[in-house]
Amino acid sequence: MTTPDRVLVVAFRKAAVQRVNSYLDYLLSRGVPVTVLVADGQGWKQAPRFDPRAEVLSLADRENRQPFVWTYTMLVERGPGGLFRRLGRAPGPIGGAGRRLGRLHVKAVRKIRKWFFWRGYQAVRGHSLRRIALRRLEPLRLDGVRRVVVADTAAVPFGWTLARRRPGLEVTRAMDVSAFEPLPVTDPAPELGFDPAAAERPYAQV
Amino acid sequence: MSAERPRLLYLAYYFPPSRASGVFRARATANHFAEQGWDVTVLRAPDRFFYDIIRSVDEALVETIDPRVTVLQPEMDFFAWENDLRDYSFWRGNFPVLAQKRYQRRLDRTFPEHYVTWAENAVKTGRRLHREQPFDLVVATGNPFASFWAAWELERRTKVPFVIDYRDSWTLDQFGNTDKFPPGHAAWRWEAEIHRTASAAVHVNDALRAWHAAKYPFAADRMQVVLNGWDPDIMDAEAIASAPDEARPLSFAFIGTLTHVQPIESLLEGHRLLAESGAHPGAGLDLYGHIGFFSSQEMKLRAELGLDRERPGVAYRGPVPKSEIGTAYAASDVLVFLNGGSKYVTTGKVFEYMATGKPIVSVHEKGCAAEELLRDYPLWFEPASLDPADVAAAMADAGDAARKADPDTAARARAYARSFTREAALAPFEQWARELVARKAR
Repeated sequence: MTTPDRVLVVAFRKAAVQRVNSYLDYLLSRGVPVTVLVADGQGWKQAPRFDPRAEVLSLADRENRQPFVWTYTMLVERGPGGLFRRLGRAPGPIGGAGRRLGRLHVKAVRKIRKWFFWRGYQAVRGHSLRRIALRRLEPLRLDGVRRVVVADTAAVPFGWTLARRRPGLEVTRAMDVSAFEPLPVTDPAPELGFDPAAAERPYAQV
Repeated sequence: MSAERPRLLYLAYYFPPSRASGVFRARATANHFAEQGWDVTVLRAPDRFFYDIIRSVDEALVETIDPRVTVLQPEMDFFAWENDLRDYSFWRGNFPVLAQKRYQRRLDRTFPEHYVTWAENAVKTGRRLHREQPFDLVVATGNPFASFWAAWELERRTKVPFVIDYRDSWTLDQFGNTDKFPPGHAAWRWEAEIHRTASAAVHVNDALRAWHAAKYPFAADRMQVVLNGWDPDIMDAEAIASAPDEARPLSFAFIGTLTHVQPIESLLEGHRLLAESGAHPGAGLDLYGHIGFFSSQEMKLRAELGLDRERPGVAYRGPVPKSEIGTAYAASDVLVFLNGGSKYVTTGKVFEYMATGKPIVSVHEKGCAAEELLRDYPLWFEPASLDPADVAAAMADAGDAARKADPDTAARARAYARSFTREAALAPFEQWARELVARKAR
């Protein structure tokens, strides 16, 4: 039997991970090679890991270097956070004040991120990631890809543009396994799950 | 009445060429009314839905539609089913969240189902046809229940009385016996509203009628039961020989759609134990039919049901076109009635099974609605429980009965089944509809 063509899964939101993993398990257990393109730079805290049998390529570094994201994290999160941490290490009342301010800052950042940053960024994130991803198509090796599965709405703008640029490439939202021939299970997942160490970050950056 | 021939508008989203389990009731209803002299117009889903979206088609069924029936396909918006990004508009491709929100708002404004755009177009088509030549009655069958909404909307605009036909329940989870929607969901409001104006609500069994009567007591006196039945025009029951060939091992067969609600593991294990016991050496288990209602789920379901690996004596023989269903029954010696098992679920298959006059082994939880019908069938074998050992014992007994092949018992079985043809089930409903139309015309 010939090696089946590769499947590219695009997941830009962590909410898609579990769904993607059950799809990956079906394909990877049957020897279908899969590449997952993720944008795990923002909003992926405590996200579950992808199946370690899949090749995972990440846009995180590129996303975090976007001017808007970089400026926000530097001015609101990392900059003041670093300052308060240093202050907190100082002896005496300055250190105490620094630690208190640090705690307040963590709480404030959580709210600012949720209510202001994320609301604004969410609206443009898909477009911003599309620009980043379209400039890095080479590592995705699209010529050997049989279908592209767009796992969430944030990835739709990228998938839509890809479908326009490559009309012969199937770009779909459906995690449909019926398109693959009934392949035998050749590489099942271990019954007790994968060794967590095997699935450690970081994913390969593109 | 508008003319000599009363005019019926039948809203049946699933209709041939669809092969969904509900189309047989819809097909039979349209044919029966046409046969009884009604001028029938059916509004069904567009071809694209059957061929491209759910890819679940049996073209042979189209040939079984009475040529006097007019079938139309109102268009619909495929937003909820469009997966290929090459088909996305500029708007949806670039602003998927906003596009989704706009679509959802549309659903919230009208009716909480993806099929509502079809229903809206069905209303438009219905009104246009009604202007050309008035209808006397609208019958809507669900699911989808957007067809109920379309009938309700048509009544509001044209005053044509309507009947809702529940092939499945809308707000009741028939298998779990729980509510399908949380309190306050729009479905509850719509179901009550539709019951208020419907001339009748038709159910497939009495348990469902009773549940709805308790839920909507103000409409209880307008509810009736129209059982499913078997279709003599599709299956020539007399031509199916009931005596098995002595020279070959018995064939136990399931004929129908395999789904995840059926206790298939009990059946497979039961068959394995039967083989081990040596009661009927070499007896095979043949599974005919589709796996799941949608082709996209087939592979996954096949693995879930444990049918992706080889099992001695078990053969998955694939789907059988309805026109050739008699061949599958003729090749079977004992029929296995594998069912999700609920007091609200009868299934149309049980009528076909009985029509064959062959032994039937039940493999389902106790309390299934079909038990009421099977109880008087002389060749029914019910295991004590779903324990594989009990299933194997019932299969062995049914196998003995098949081998014995008592012609009198088989004749009694077939005679009993003859009272469950579609025609017999639909005749009182058609008569009632005719009287309703006549009353309204006075």
